[in-house]
Amino acid sequence: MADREYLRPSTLVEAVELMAAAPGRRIVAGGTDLMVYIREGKERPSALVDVTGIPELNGVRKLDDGALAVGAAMTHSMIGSDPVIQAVAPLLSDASSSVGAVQIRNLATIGGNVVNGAVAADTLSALAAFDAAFITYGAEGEKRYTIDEFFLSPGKTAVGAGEILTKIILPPQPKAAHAFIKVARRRAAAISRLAVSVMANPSEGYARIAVGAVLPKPGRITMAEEALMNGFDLSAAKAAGDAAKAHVLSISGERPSMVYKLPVVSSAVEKAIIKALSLKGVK
Amino acid sequence: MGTFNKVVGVDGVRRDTVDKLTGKERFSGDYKIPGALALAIARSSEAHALIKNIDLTKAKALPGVVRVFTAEDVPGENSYGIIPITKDQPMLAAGKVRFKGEAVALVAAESLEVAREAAALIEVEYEPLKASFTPEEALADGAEAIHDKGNLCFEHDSLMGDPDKAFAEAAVIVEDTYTTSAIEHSYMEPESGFAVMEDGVVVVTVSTQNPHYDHADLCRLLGLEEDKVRVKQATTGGGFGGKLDLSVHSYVALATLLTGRPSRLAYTREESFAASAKRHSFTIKYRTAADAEGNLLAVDAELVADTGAYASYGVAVAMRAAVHAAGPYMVPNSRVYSRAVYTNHVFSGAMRGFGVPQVALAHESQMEKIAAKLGMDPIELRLKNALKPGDKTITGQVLGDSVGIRECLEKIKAVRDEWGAAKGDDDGVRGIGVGAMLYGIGNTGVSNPSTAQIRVNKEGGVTLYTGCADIGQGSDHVLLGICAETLGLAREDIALVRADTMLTTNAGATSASRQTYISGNAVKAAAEMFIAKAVEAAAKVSGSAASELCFTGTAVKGPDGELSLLEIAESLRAEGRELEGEGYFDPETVPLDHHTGQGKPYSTYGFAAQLTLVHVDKATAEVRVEKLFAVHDIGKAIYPQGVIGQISGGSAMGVGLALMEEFDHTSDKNFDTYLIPTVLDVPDVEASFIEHAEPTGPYGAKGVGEPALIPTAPAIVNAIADAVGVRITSLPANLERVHSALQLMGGK
Repeated sequence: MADREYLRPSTLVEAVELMAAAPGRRIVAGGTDLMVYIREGKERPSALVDVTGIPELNGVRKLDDGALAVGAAMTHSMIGSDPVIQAVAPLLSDASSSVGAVQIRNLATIGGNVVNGAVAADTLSALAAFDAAFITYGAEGEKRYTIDEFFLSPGKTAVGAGEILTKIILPPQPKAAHAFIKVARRRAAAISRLAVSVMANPSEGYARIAVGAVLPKPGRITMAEEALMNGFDLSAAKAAGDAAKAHVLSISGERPSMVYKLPVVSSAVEKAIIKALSLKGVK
Repeated sequence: MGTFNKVVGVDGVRRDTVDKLTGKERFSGDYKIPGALALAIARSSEAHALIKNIDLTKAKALPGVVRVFTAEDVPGENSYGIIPITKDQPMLAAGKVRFKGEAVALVAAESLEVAREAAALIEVEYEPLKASFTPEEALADGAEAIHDKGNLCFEHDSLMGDPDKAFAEAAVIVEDTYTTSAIEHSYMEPESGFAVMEDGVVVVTVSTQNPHYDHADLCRLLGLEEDKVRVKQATTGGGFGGKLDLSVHSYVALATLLTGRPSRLAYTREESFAASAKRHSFTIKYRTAADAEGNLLAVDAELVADTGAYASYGVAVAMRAAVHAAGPYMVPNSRVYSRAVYTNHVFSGAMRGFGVPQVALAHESQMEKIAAKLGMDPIELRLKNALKPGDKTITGQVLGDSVGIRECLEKIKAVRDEWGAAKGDDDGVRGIGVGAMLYGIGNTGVSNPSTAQIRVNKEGGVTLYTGCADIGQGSDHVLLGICAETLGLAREDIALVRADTMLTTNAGATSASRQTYISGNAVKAAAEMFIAKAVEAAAKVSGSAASELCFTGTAVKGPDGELSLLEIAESLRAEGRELEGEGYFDPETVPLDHHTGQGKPYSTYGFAAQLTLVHVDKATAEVRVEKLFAVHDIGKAIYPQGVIGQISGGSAMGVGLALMEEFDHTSDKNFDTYLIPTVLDVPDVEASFIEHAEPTGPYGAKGVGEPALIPTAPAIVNAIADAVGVRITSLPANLERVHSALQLMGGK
């Protein structure tokens, strides 16, 4: 591995300047993906600009409208144990706690998870369920993206070269029960085969359903959510699962990995709803 | 003798624990070797091809490159391999490559960066040949011959009684085909070593399981006399069979011999994956016959193993799998046909269990199927057929006294009763499964002796010399324990010289679960001879009768006082003799007949049974092993914690074999995609053992290293079948396979 410059700005302005100062520089936070790419020779950055020391990227703040602003440089360990996030967005806590293994969660950040835009990134289904928004800072100042604007295609996001993801905004939600399910080939340090995020509150007629690892970009599955509007019971849970499966099939189509994944989208969404609402009497 | 000073059977901190935990222990990569050349290997991009030309021009021109080697530079015979009849592997490809990743050229340079860059600059012109990636393809008409002798590496037949008649008369016949996957050993420390020249001797320090074999094949490759090569085993970070083959050894030895400079090489994880042995994948067609009461009448099994591009241990795996095909049961009639077939995969070799974990999946699944057909309890069925002392195995061997399988099964049964019925929950279903096994200790039907010496050292204490490589499993602690017990000392009183071909004699490979039994016996014999010699010499010096003298560990005591070991050694030296005990042990075996497979392959067997409770998630098909109880008949635990450690670790490996490990030769480059169990995937293993003392074993000991993992996968697969009612016959039982089983279950 060749030697390269490692820069650690303490302000956003400085970070944007450093990124612009020479070509081929890359932003790094936890580095749990980037360092692997560098070792594999897939990335050869001229310098690494570490953004984890910038105040705007750290901490959790409740905004005036009740939304939660989560700093992009927060590690998954921090998110998993943060009392505010646990109280307001436990779905995200659970999703972050499912990432990799303890050693990875201690380094990897939610911003990194988001910016890489990997289809199987563990937090994306949770962020989709929240209809999260994304704040960046660059040469043109601050920008705000909706989740649909932010994720373009597998591995591709709208973030420009000199632009830094600073915050993830979780809009306020009704009080809701939740469940997060990650399916993988083992119980730690494994890529999701499938992830399911559910939030629901029957008395408010509120349901949010999103899945990860089976769609090219994250987003809610409104067809599945609507299935719950007929009543939050076992048959509606099954209908929601089937709707989620139909949605995934319509977008991702049949392919070898779907022989397993498609039916499991259906049963795992059903299971997540049952789990969130503690509906008893499964099969 | 020695019982007054208990060492055997007593726990305590293992001698290497603290140094390993604190990082004081040095592995070969930790040594500073001033002036050492860095090596890098150019590997084949083709699975099967003729080499038309190797252009080294650009590599040699790179500043910092000292020398580049190809097959033409190998001074001796460019072929090696552990089994004498199949030394078919070149250290550098000669005219042909047989798997992707095979070594074609070797670069020695002043730095690792330069060596690797130069290796990448080597241009090889290939003429691709048709490659075979399954035994079926390799044996088909028109398949390209991978070796001159063709693609059948080895075949083995075994016949006992009249299986056809037994099948004709059987009340129950069950039949199925089972497949298992290729598996990477995944030792923590990849292959690593270095070489230096010392007084005209090439001294290779290396991570290895078998220094004396390494020495012999290095002499062959380098064309050197025995005294011109020395192999020292470095502290070794795991092996599991994967460090029985030569790896870095030959490259560092060649570079150092031909340049006169020290050299070192450590495989990257990617190189280790690409170029080290894998567990043989097997296809097993298996038929079993039983009478209406559940007595086994016959087995008929056909085993095919993918041995990859080179034989390595293929012969031993195919033969051992055949010998163990019927499991720990009395089967009066049998036919087994076993083959190892060359393909263009990276070579398969030894891996913990040598083919027995593969056949155990088959025989243990078959037992469940018979029990189901007869409506019998699966443990009762096993008990009914379990081998007893005096029973005959399928090779016609009459078993001796140490046959603990019945007791293992009785224990399993009691634990199953304690667990109660497996109940599902909201998320899924549960099931309980049993796996049982026998495992022959030592090499199959061949002489495989060990030797050891005990000598007085300058301090007046004793030193144990053994060629046995401790690869982390703890043989040092076990052998010192046997030595201490016999001499009436503590382990700390004994110095150890281990696994150095100049200082120690051959103990054979650390494989086949053989070192406790075979090297343990050699050490015990050496200690007994040492005592006898000391007493005899002391009698002569003191004029007392030997019967009046007592060996104390540090001296010989008599009616007129005592003589220290140094004093005794001095008196012997005056006669031109040494105070030394030499031990030798070779288990009694009878080679297997070439046509019938009959003989006495091993002098003793380990036995075991394991019980698992699994949870199968009905939504996602995830399997969680919630409980694992293991009981092993190991003869005698020399170091009980070590036995428990082996069973626990082996069971964890068995979880991988059962649920997730499957080496994909085209895509698995490292642990990014090749998944082995994490601590979260393995339950707390409740490991236990019983001690059916083996009369020929040191203090009754047998072995446990490989038995540890053999029953685990069958127990898990049987538990899944119990949970979902559908049997998985191909390993691993991954998400997709379990999901298919669940769907079949749902369809009922």
